[in-house]
Amino acid sequence: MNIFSALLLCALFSGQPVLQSKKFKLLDYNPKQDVFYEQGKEARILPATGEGFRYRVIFRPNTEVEKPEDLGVAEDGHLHWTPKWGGLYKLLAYVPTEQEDGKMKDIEKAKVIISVRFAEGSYIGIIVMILAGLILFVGSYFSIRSLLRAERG
Amino acid sequence: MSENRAQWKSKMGFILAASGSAIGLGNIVFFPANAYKYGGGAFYVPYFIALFLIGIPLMITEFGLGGMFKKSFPMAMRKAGGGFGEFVGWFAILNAGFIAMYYITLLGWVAGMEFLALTQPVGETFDGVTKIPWLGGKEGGGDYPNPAGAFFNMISTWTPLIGVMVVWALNILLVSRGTKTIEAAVKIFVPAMWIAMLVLIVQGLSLPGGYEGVKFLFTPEPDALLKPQVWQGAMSQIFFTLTLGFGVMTAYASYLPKNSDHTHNALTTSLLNCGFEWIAGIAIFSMLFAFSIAPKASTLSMMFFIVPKGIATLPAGAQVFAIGFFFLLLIAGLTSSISLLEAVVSAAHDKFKAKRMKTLLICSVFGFAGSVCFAIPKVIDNGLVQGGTLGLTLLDLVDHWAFTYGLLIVGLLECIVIGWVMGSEKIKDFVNLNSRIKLGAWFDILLRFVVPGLILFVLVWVISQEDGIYGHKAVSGISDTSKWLSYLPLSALLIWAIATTVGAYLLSKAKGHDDASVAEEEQA
Repeated sequence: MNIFSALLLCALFSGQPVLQSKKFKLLDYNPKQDVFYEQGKEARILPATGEGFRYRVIFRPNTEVEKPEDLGVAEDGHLHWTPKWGGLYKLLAYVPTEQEDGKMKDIEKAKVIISVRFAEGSYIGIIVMILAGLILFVGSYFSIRSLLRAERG
Repeated sequence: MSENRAQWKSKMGFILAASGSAIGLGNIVFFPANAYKYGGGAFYVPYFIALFLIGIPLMITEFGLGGMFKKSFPMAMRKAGGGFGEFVGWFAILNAGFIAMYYITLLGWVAGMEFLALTQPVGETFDGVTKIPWLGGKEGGGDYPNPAGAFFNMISTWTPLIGVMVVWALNILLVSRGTKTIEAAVKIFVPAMWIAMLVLIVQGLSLPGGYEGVKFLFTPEPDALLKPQVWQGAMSQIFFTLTLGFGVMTAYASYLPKNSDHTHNALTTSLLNCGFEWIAGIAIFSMLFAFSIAPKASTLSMMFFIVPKGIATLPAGAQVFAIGFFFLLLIAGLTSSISLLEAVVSAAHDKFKAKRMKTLLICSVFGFAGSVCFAIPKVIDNGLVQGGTLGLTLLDLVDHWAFTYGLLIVGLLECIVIGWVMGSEKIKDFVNLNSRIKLGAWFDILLRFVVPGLILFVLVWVISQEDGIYGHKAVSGISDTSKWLSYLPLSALLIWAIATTVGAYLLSKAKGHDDASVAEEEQA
C-alpha cells in the first residue's frame, strides 16, 4: 500500500479530507475484541497528518519514568514502531513551534493511548504481584489469628 | 472517668472500624494511580520500606497513646506533652475537621454520580457529551465530553447538596451512639467493601486484556528507585493511606480495653489497608489496560472521569459496573468520614464533657456549613480549564494545605511530643505490657530519629516543589477575571492556617472539664 492509498483509507475511516487526518488509525487493534498490539511485534498504525507533523511514542505516560521514542513514517505510510515493552503507551503527533520567548515547544496535534500486550514468557509482573500479596495477606492472616486467639484466651 | 468510657464489643469490631477508617477513596483510586506513576512494581520497594519504617511504628504510637491514656487525641497529647501537646492535638483535630468537610462534599458528589448511574443510561452519562449551558461563556453554552461534562454540569447546580445532606445525616446517625453505632455499621460496610472490590476484580480480569493490565501494574521499572520523588511519593502514600495524623486512631484505640495488644492491632490494620490497596490496583488496572486509559494521580479525576469513562466503554454490564463502582466509593468513604467525625466529637466531648449528642450536633452544624462552601456551584471557570466552580476550586486549595501539609506537620510534631517530650520508652513500655511482639530499642530510634527525619524530608521536598502560593497560577489562568478571584489562593491558605493554629491555641487554653485531673497528674 503506498502513502496515497494509506491516506485515502485513513480519510475514508475518519471522514476527513485526504492528506489531513486528525486522528491516528490503529490497524489490527481493537481492545473490545481482545485484539491488541504485542511487545516485540511491529504495530500497524496510520498516522494523523498535517503540516510539519512529527511523531513520538511515550511508554508509561503521565509517570515519573516516561520513556519517549521518536518515530518515523515508513514508505508505505505507516508509522514505523515496534513496542519494546508491554504496557501503556501514548502515541502523539506534534509540531515543534517557536514560542514568543524564542524557545521551541512541541505542540500536541493528536494523541492516542495504546495498550500493548506482553510477549509470551514475561512473568516478572506476576511474580512481584504474588510477593507483595503474600507479604500483605499472610501478614494479615497471622496478625488477625494472633489477635483472635488472645481474645478467646 | 475512664472506667465509664465506651468500649468496642469485640476486637474484630475495632479492627474493622480502624481498617474501615484507613480504607477510603484514596485506596481505591489514588493508590493504583500512584503506583503506576512511580514505577509500577518498583514502587513496592519504597512503599514497603515506608510501611515498616514510618507507617506501622506511627500507628503503634497512635494506638498506644489512646490505649495508655484512654482519651481522644488532644487530651492524650496533653498528658504526653503538656500544653504544647494539647495544642498539637487540637491542631490535628481542626485539620481533620477541614478534611471531613470537603471529604463529605466529595461523597455527596459520589452519591450524585451514583444517582446518575442508577437513573440514566451509562452509555450517555459517562460517554458522549453533555450540554453545559454556561460553557465557554457564550449563549446556549456548549457540549463537553462525558463523564467530565456530566460531572461539571452536576456540580454547577445545588442539586448535589441533597447528596451532601444525606451523607451528613448518615454520618450523624452512625456516630450518634459512638462505638455502638460505628461498630454495627462497619460490620456491614467493611465486608461489603471487600466483597464489592472482589466483584470488581472478577469483572476487571474477565475483560479482554485485563490480566495484561495487572502484569503491567506490577512490572518493575528499576530506574524509578533512583528518583527521590518516587521515595517521597511512597512515604506520602503510606502516611496518608493509614489515616495517620488525624487523631482518629488514638480516638478509636481509647475505646479498647487497657490490656490490648497494640502492636498486633497496628500490624493488622496497616496490612489490611495495604492489602486492600493491592486488590484495588488489580481491579483498577485490569480495567484501565482494557480501556487503554493512562491514569493520572488525582483522586478526583480517577473517581469521576477516568474510571467511569472506561466503564462506559464496556461491551456489556456497564450499568451494573458503574452502580457497583460508585457504591463501593460511597461505603469506603463513609467508613472513613465517620471516623473523622468521631475523632472531632470525642475530642470535644473529652474536653468539655458536654452531652455526646449535643457535641455531635454542634460539630455537625459547623461541618455541614463547611461542606456547603465546598459545594458552592458558582461557575468561575466557564472554559473548564481548571476547577469549574468556586466550590471545587476551594476544595482543591484547602485539600492542598490540610492534606499535604497539615497531616505531615502533625506527624512531625507528634513524634517530637511523644518521642522527645514524653519519652518514647514510656509508650514502648506500655505497648510491650500486653503485646506478644515486643518492641526493642529500634522502636525508640525509629520514633525519635527515623520517622521525624523522613517526614521532614517529605515536607522539605513538598515545599521545594511549590511555585508561589499554591493555586495562584491556576486561578490566574481561568476565564473569570474578577479581581477577588486572585485573592482566593492566599485566602484559602490564611483561613486554614488561622483556623487551625489560632483555633488549636484557644482550645488548648480553654478551661475544660478535665483540667483539674490533668493538673493533678502533671503535678504527680
